[in-house]
Amino acid sequence: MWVCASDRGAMAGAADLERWLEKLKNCEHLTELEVRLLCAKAREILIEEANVQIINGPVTIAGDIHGQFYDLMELFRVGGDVPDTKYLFLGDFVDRGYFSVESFLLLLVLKVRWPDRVSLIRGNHESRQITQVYGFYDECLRKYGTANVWRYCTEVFDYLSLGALINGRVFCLHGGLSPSITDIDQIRAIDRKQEVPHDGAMCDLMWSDPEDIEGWALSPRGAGYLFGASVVKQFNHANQLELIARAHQLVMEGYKLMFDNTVVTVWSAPNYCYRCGNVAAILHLDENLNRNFQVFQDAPQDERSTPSKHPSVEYFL
Amino acid sequence: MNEEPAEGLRMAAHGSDRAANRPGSGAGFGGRFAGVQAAVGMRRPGAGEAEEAGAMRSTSRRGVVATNDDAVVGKWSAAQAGYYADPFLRHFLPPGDVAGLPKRGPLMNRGTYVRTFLVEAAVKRFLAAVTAVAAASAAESACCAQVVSLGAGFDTLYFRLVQAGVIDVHAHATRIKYVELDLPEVAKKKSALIESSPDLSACLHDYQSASAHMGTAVVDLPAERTRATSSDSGAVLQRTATYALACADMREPAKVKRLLLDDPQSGGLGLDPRAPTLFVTELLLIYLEPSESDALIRTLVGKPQSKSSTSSAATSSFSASAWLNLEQVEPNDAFGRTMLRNLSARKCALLGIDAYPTVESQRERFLKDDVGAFHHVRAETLLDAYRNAPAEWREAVEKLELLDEFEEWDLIMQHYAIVYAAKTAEEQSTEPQLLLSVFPPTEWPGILRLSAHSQKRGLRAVDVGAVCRRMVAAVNNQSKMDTRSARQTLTLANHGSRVPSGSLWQRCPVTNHLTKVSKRHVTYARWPVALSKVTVSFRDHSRHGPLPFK
Repeated sequence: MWVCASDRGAMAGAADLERWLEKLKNCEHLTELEVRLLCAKAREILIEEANVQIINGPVTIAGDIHGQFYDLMELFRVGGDVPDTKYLFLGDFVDRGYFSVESFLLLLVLKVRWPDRVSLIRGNHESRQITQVYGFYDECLRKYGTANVWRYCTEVFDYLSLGALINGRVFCLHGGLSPSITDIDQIRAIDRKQEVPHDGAMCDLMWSDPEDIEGWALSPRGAGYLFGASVVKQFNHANQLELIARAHQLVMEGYKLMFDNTVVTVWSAPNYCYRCGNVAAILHLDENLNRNFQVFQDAPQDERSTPSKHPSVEYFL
Repeated sequence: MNEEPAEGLRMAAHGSDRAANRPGSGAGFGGRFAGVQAAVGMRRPGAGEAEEAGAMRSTSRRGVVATNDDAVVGKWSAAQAGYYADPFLRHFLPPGDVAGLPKRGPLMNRGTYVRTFLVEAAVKRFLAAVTAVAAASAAESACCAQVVSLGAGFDTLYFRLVQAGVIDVHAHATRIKYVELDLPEVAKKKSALIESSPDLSACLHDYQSASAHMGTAVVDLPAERTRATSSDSGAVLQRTATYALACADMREPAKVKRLLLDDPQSGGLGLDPRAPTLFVTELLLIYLEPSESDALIRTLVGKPQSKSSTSSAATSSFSASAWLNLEQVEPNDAFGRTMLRNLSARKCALLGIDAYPTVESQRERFLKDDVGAFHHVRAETLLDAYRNAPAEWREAVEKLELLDEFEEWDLIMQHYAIVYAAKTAEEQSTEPQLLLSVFPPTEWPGILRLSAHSQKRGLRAVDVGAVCRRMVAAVNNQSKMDTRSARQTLTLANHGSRVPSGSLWQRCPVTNHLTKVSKRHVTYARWPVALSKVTVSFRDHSRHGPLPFK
């Protein structure tokens, strides 16, 4: 009886979600307990989702966010609020920016609150190893004093899907193709509930990049592959696709079409790392898959009321 | 530094490795970030052009001096990540818990190492070339290598060179002089740190016998020992046979020159204006107004302004000089504009960047008759410098940390330029070609720089090029071949197999026959049918160059 009562008390109810949403929209972070409850709820939802989610347009596709919370709010201002707009996020929610915790948890609350209006795909930064190098781990430690929140979040990472298919014609993923995948069905067969491996199909999907080369080449990133136009042509033909939408690479103009408009890179972190000066973009696909790119800049300064505890932007000085 | 009086705008001073209190000690930290945020807002539509231009030039002596701390912490992070060993850096870290220092990401670590390595490699090439000539010469005073690091900050290169045995405080007492200059608030602190640390002061006096002292803890300095006063300018703080540290303001070039050239008896450093001298300005000139940096270069190495002036040491400039400069370029693209805003918000605006905004303009600056009047200048972005470095070295570097920010890596490395300049006029008292040693060897296609070893054997640079061509011919002919030097022997085992190449390794980027470069061996997948270009390098990575191959 006692156990049941405490369990019920610890469940994330609708009222909790609204409260958390309000907090996170103001860039306030949740308590450790709240994060635990939210992550548990999110896992329940994500575990039911397929490796490749089936999505019907219209939908708005967003690329890397990288903890740039105020720029994520700017993204919602440009693209419309959830649930009015249906979103597909292509991963890399955390690392590099100053607000990885708030950004990821906000997306997670939105996902839990409106599971059919928000889809989250795993990026290469949604990994225990990478987040310890690129800032998310340190941020959790700084904001909570322990690594528990990082642990809860990385457990959720393991449940995120690997890709999405829009109207059966647009294939979305974080990085790119893999030489071991010729058919989307092969992705559906992957056991994804694990840390991102160092090689193999699951790794490649999150690490690969399109490049003007013939066929395949090893990626200079140390994981994944580079793939050329002929690879895309073959893959799109075999799977009856018209477009591969991916993120993963900084594009100064926010988006970049390649290979005769069969691959698009969408980048949604404006002024990446507060240093690159780039604009960002989201891609809106309507019900007929007509493409409309919306380009936006980083959030105006006065939005960022949080007192600055952040290190200054790094250069060689 | 926090008790310093209010800083006026436009008090540009030394850059690079300049000292200050560490960020986080009081106002500096929060204020710095607040500035960054303001600057981000500044770019928004609505902000006027004039306002923006003004915001891009916000600078203060304290802000520029603070770049030294940033550099030390950055180098510490790179060293901790395993890029290079610097046992002296910890003495110069900001006071406080070492573990609490901000950890830099792989991109900053790699870039910090690359720029440190390039400067170190150039200085080493210069010292090796000059001392080799000096060793071959009978006269005791034949050749004295002088390195002058302007705005040296807490740079540890001198100490690392002593530790590595490149500089021997006894054997090189008459051969090498290494001088560091910086603002009093930096130089005095460095001097006090040197005195309070046995392993630093050992590098000044007797490194071998004192190396047992290595491993002392960081010392907190009493403020009165490091506080700068107006009378400090020109003061010599440390002076040994091989090393000197002195206070100087680079905006007063005449005083700087007098300090360098005056006799020790009259308070100067007693450098020889005719001896081969390498000036190093690593992120210094950019913080000065272009008129000031031009005046500095002109005063130190430029052509004499009038022939009627007396020929005293005070008026003649360093005639046999080379210059190594590293600083930011490309202020006008998106990354560059953001960089200007962010640095201006930290009160270390890049005052010189508009006058010399490109690699090409950096090159011309040192060639200009009324500035440096150098004969040979090579300028390239850090990205190109890195890409031109031996692939073997790059592979080793890239294995250290996983870096997945390729686009950003290219961006930041394209916004720094490294400039090598040298004078080779015939009227110079020293070997005219000597000063070219600071250049990365790719400067001379078809010619490979000599190692100290082969220089002793009397080989000329061009001969090595011929040797290498013979070696390549040998590779193609699959025949056994010996060269004059055992270290350059290349023996072929058999068709398509490993080529034990001694201190040389080869690759063939054009035909892509190369499949693997290991430490000592090169493996070809199959024999190159026609080599059009072969890169040959010594294993210490300091010399390499593409060879035109017939």
